[in-house]
Parts: sequence; structure tokens; C-alpha cells
Amino acid sequence: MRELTEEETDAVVLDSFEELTYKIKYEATSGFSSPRPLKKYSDFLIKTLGESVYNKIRALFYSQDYRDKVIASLKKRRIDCVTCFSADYPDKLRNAVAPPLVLYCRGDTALLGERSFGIVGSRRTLPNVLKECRNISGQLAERFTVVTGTADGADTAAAEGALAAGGKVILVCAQGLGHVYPASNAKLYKTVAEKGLVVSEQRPEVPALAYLFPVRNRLIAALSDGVLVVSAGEKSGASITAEYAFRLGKDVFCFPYSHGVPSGVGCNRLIKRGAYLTEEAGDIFGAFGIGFSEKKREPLSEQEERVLAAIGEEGQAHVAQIAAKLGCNGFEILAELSSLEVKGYISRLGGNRYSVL
Amino acid sequence: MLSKVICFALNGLDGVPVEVETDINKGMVAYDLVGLPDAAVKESKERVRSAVKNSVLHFPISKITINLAPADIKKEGSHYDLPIAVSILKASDQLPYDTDGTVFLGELALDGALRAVTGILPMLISAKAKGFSRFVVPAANANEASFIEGAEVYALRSLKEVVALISGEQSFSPVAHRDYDSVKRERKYDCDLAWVKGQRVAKRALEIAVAGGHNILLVGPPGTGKTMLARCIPTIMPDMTFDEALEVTKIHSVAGELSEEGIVTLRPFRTPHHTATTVSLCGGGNNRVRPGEISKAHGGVLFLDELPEYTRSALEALRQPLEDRKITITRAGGAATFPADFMLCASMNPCPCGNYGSAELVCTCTPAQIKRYRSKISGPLLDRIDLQVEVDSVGYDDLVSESAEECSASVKARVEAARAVQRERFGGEGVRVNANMGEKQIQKYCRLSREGDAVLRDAFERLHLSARARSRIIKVARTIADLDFSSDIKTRHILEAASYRSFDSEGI
Repeated sequence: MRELTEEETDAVVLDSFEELTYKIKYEATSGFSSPRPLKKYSDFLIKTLGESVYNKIRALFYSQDYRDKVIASLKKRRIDCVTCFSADYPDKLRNAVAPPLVLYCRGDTALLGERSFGIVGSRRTLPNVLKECRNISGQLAERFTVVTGTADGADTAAAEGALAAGGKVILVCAQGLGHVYPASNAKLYKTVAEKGLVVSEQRPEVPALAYLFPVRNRLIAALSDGVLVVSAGEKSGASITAEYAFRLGKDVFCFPYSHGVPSGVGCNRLIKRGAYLTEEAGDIFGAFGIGFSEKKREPLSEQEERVLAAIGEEGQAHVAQIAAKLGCNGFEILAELSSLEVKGYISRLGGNRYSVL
Repeated sequence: MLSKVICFALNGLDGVPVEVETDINKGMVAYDLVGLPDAAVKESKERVRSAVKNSVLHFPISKITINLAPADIKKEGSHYDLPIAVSILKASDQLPYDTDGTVFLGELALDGALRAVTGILPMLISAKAKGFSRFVVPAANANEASFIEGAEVYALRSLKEVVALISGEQSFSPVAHRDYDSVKRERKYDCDLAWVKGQRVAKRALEIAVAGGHNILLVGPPGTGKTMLARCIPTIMPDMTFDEALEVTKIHSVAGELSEEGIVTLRPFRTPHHTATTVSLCGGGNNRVRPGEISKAHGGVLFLDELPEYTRSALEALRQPLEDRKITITRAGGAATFPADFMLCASMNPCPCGNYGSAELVCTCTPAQIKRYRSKISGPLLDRIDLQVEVDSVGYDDLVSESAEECSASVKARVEAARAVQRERFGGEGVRVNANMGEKQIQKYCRLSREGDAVLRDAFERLHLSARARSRIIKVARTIADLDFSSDIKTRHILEAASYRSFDSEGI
């Protein structure tokens, strides 16, 4: 556990007041620049809070009992705090829209300062895209810390892909660290807290409220040096993250989609607005000027080559279509399809359809 | 005067001899029935009284005591009417003839006519095994009784005829023995694989499943022909032998579901609705334990449509019979064992909205919803389903398939050939088909080449298969090799087997 300095404690204690809005906290610390907030009587605070509330909060703020209680409860939950007064508060956060006063962390806080890359996407992502997301996340994790959200679907795939490749992951939660959302990801939270970092700007007891998710997305954008959107529907959180990244002048990368795929509408729109069309990790490394060697693939048999070529013509195909092209019966190519899947050339889409990776 | 007449009671599929004893005494007029009769047996008193009177016979007006011995087992059913009537007639000296060695079974109508009863076949088989060879049964049960060789069965229409038979006033010819093969040839299934367009992958999976006796799960959106495919399963199963048919007929006879035909020649196809209770699936009942759907599907197919909609307890109850291929039901009244060697075919949607994996329609489910939906099928149950195959929307196949579809008969020929290979291999090991192989047989007969082992290992790693999928894939690979007449399991057999596992892959 990190020991907090007096100033850091000030920030944490100030953040613990439920009644105070972000704006008030920002004002009370004179834009996160003044240590020892609430020291002088502030006309603005008295006006917005009312004198009695202000006095109550001020008294609590300087009560050693209260301060100890706040710090002790965080310690009990094994939560570290990186505050705007901390030396290791990342600079990229200071440039964010509404930088957080305190970042509640579980795991390795040093990751906040490292080169990082955000991967986001929709919960309803196609299975082959999920596979590719896992794949590309693993490759990016060799050079970046992967930053992502906690939703299932693309976010989870990105985190799992990076972890599987032995990379570092930062999970940015919308809710406080006292809650796990969605519950199905409890195991992921635990793994990342051990091997990476789980952060939230909310106090631990804040539950997952709908409006917190777009708010959280600005942190993903701020913490990342670039953002990859693997899928985004008509209205999607991933597009919001990309929007923030654009605003912060960061590079946005998107998987392209064919016309009419609902989970790709947002991606195509972002590409139109200037995001990089991305098909493989090399596209991203290229933009960052990082050299990258193409992965080696296993040799294929003659029949496997033919099956792969048949799927390749369309990008994705049904077993019966592939079989018709090769002039054989559907089940006769099942062995080849399985083998191609094992070797990582194709992926199952469900409904006996396959797509090339 | 005292008289004794033999009839039979049923315990599960076994007949137990019951003696109907009647004693007529002087004294206060009474008519008592003792020996643990249930409601239907108690009511027989009134039916017998009217039937006797309306057959122009005399119903004694004195103290009548009827005892059903042994007195400690519960008697259930309506087939005691005839033996009780005969017993009363004998006790009142209206039938002074010897009836020892004759078994009477039948329900009486008030006018003295004989009505059909259930369970004739199992009772006759047990009676014959216990040395009885002369039977009197209702005419409506004649077909059922005609398959028992060497028995003298009289199928009569009324109590009057029974009296005439016993007294020798009239001679009746016993029911002619019927040959199973001649009956078998007459019946046909009312569907055929040739009628299912496309679905080559699913059809191949069915062929493998039937050849190796594997259970199968069909996953596909609504309206893609899962039920149609399932209905075709019996058409590609090997024909039932006479012994198998008799066993199945016994169960259906006890359940009272036997057709006019008198014997079941086609493999049963049972489709209990998903509201079915555990008891209706597995069997049960208060006094006389009755077979459930899994026993009625013995020798055939149990089709569970919309598998996740069944209650968890009903599904979990299937696990043990799937393993033992029989079920023992214990009730306060006693225990009964029914055979339950069926092939399980289940179907389900790929996700709650049904569109997952569809080419045209959009799936609106989140991964968590899909996971929740699929987790309704427990791991241990899935362990017993070797093949999971996707059935997809028909439109696609119709576009590309031009060739004629294969008919059930030719698929059946291949299945029978593969079964022959398995019979030869397993010999007397107590295992009939590949699906029933235990760890020991897998070790012995499913040796993988080094290359095959490497492929399987690779598949596990890259496709994120669960550990329990391993023996499943190996068993299915064994069956595919058998269909190929290959004594070794080749790499391509393993790879094909690995493709029938839509549930195991991480997919979503």
C-alpha cells in the first residue's frame, strides 16, 4: 500500500464528501493547484452550499477522526489512491476533460505512466471480430499497456487477449472499486488487479449507474496514447471514447466493416471522420513508428489451401457455399475447416459460417 | 363352496400371479372384496354383478367373500373383473369344471361383454415363464397376444363365451400365432431424410450419432427444421429385432399406449413437451409404478425440443438413466425397474433471440445473455451429449444445392455396416456402441497416432475446448473411423469430430 502525504490525504478526504459536485471540488482546490483546500473562507462555496453545510464539511475536513476513518476504510478495501497532488499523477490525465481529483487504484499504479493503448468496442461484437480483437490486443500488449473498459464483448476480449500474451492491462471502471460490474467479469477483475491495474475515479461505494459510463469513457481516451475501436454500433460508448480521443488530439484506429453490419456502423463513420482504417497490428505500430514482425503461419495442405481460397473470395461463407465451390459435399470439408481454425486462418461465425482472419 | 381362479398383477414389467379365491357361505347377504384392491378393483364388484346377471346367469344371494392372494401386494387395474366373475360362478356351482392352469384376464362391461385391458403382453410373457400356457383374454387384446409362441390364448368377446368355453358347450380356436417379420414389413415411417433439403452437415452428424449410439444436440434458429431432422432419426436406425420389439411392446402395453397392431415394430420417437415433470419423464405413480417418457422411448429416440426450457430437475434426472440405460423407480408401494436405453436428441436455439450466427438477421443478445441461456444446460448433462451440431437457415442451402437428397435407406445401410464393425470389436465386453465406451475401452480401442495426438492437443489449446470435451471427441472420431472402415483413428477423423462442438468452443 502507498502511504499518502498530507496533501494527498486532503484530496482523498475532499473527494469523500458525497454532497460536493466535481465543480465544487475543482473550485475548492483552486483548479487542483492549491494544497490545503477549504482553508480560507470561500464566497463561492458558501454561496453554492449554504453556510451550515459548508461549516459542517469544513469541520469534518479538519477532524483527524474523520480523516483517519476515510483512509482506513480505503486501506481495508486494499485501494491505493493517486491524487491530483501526487507526484505520479499522469500528465496525460491533467490534459483530460475534467481531470479526476482522485484515481482509486488496485494493482500496479506505475502502469499509469507507461505508454498505453486503448482498445474499445461494443458488447454485441461479432465472434470473428472478437477473435481478431483478442489477437490484436495480444500483439499490441508487447509494446503497450492495453487500456480498456469492463463490459463483456470487445472490452473483455481485449483484456483477455493482452493478459494471454503476458502483457499489462489497465481496466477503467465506471463504478467504484467496491462493486464488480458486470458480475460475470469478477475473475477478470481479480486477475487484472494482480497482474495489471484496475482504476476508477468514483469512490468505492458508488454503484454502476448508467450515466457514469460515458463519463468513464473520457478517462479511457485520456489514459491512452491511441484508441482502437473494434466495433461500434449506431449509438455506442466506443464512439464516445473515440470522440474524446479526437478532441485530445490522439490517433483513433478502427476496424472496417462491410455495408449494413449493425455492429460496424459506428466504426465506418469514425473512419469517414479521419480514423485510421486498421486491419492488423502492423497498421497501428506503423502509425507509432514501431517496427513489428509479421507472425508466422503454419503450412497448409492442398485441400486446406483450396478451402481457404474459397472462403477468401467472399471474406466469409457458409459451409454449403464453400462445398459448392469445391464441388464436394458439405461434411467432406469439415476436417479441413477444423484444421484451418486450429491453425488460426479462419474463425467460426456460428450457423455453420466461417470467415477468414 | 370355495373356488380359486388364477390371474396376474403387474409390478413394473413383471407379472405376479394372483389367486382370486371366492367363498360363498350361508349367512347375512354380503359381498366383500379383500386383498388390497385399489378403487378400480373395488368397483369391479358392481360390474361383475351386472355382467353376471345380464349374461343370463345367477348371481348368488348369500354371503360372498372374495380374496385376492397374495394379500400383501396392492392390486390395481380393471383386469380382475373376469377372474372374479369366473370365480363366483365356480363357487356357486354354475361352472363345475376344472380351470386350474388357465389364466383369466379382462374387464367386464355391464352387459357381460369383455373390454380390452392394458399390460396383457408382459403378463402373458411372465405367466408363460411361470408355466401357465392357457389364457383367456378379451378379443380386443388378441393382436397383442398373438406374438407369444406356444401359448393357447383364447380371445373372447363376452362372459357368455367364456362360460361356453369352460363348459365345453362351444369350441373356440385359440389365437393364431403371428410372425414378427411379416408384420414388420408392413409398417413404414412417415418421414424420410430425402425430404430434408440441404443441411448436409446436420445429416452427416445424425448419421454419425446413430452409427455410434451418440446423443446429439441440434442448435439452430427457430424454423430451420430441427424437429424434422430429429423425426428422421428412427428411419436411419437399424430395424428392431423381435426381442427388442417385444421389450418395447411390453413397456407400451403397461403404459396403455399400444396400437391396434398389438406390437411395436417401429422405433419409438417420443417428444415430451418442455412442461413435462420429472415423474412424467422418468416414470412413477402411487401404487403401480408406470413407465415414463424415457422408458417409452426405449429402443428409439427421446426428442427434447427447446432443451433449456425444461426444468433443471427434470433434465438432471436424465443423467443416471443415460448412463445406466435403465431406471429403477422406488415408491412406498415397491420398486420397479424399467429399461431406458434411448438415444437422446435435443434441440435448442443458439441464443435467446434465436438469430445468433444467422446470415440475414441481427442477433440482439449480449454475450452475457447468451452465456446465461446456454448455462441452463448443466455440464454433466452436456458430458453425455457427444455431438453438438448447428442447423442453419434453409434459404442458404437451397440456393446452392442442386443434387438430389439421399434417402434414409442408404444412410441406414451405412449405419448398419458401422454397427457391425462395433459389434465385432466389442464382442462380449458389455458395450454395444462407441458411445457406451468407458475409459478402459477408450484406452484400448482409441489409440491415437502421434500426429493425431498432436492435432488434438493443438485443437484444445487454440479452440479453448473444455477438458471434458476430449473423450467426447475421441469417441465420435472412433465412430467416424468406423463409418470409414478404418481400424485406426486418422487425423482427419479427429478434425471432423472436433467440428461437432459448437457448445465447447468459446465462440462468443
